Amino acid sequence: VINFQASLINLFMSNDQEKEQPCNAHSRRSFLKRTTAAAAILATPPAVVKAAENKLDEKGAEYFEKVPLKIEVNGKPYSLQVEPRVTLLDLLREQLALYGSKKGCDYGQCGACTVHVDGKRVLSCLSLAVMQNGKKVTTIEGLSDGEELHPMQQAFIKHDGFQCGYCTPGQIMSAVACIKEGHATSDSEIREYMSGNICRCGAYPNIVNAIKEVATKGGVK
Amino acid sequence: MINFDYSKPATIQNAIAALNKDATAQVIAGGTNLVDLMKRGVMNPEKLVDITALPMKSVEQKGNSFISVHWPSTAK
Repeated sequence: VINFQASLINLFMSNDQEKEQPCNAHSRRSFLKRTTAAAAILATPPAVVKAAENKLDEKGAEYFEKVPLKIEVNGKPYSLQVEPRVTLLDLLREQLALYGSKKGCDYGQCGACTVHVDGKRVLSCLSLAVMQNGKKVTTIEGLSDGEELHPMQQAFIKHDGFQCGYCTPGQIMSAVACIKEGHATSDSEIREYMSGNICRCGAYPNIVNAIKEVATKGGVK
Repeated sequence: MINFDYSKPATIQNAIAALNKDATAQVIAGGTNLVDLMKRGVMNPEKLVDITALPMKSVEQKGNSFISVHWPSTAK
């Protein structure tokens, strides 16, 4: 390892000496380059260099094997291989390219990642993907009937149930489940059962109005 | 999040065996008070034992402090 570092330093120095030019600014720049590069190599712990040589990182990744996962998302079946640590939200966004579900806080406090698993609302950021094997997931993308919006989506537009829209996919998924659960009989009940979804723009009164309209008119599948 | 092994035993005996095998193993059911701590690095289990496939129906509070677990009579 020490020989390896020394040869690298030699390489840097000889290269710079060859290219050395009389201009002051340039030589100062090359001096800085040379010294920082040398310092970086010297500061690298030998263990790290050795690990890189042995490709220990790759072996470490292989140690935790990927787990097979069969999951249905918005009516489409998928057969995947995932690491156990992948959350349902990361699976949806990064592997299935469904960007509708938002990563707000990633700690289960904001509700922006709410999706339906087997018809129940869950926080996808706190759900491990491997635990959803054989289940049916519905995201905001799967709510509408083709080009025709879901009644809740239409109601959110009508009542201005959002400003920036970041929390909206989660709000709508929660709102649909809230009515299905039968927890939309009064304003205070709606507010209580929608309390897991935070809206920083403060569109709460309009969200409540939207849910109230869908709850009284019906239309939730 | 640091990676871990995952197992989903179907019987209570296998779940206990899996937990006894690894000192850092943790039980996971919903995960709402474990996954967030694992993301922060507060909890770093090397193994998660998923108990959602166990033949247990519910956990109920009896009186002020007693908790009983119910499962179908077919389970041992």
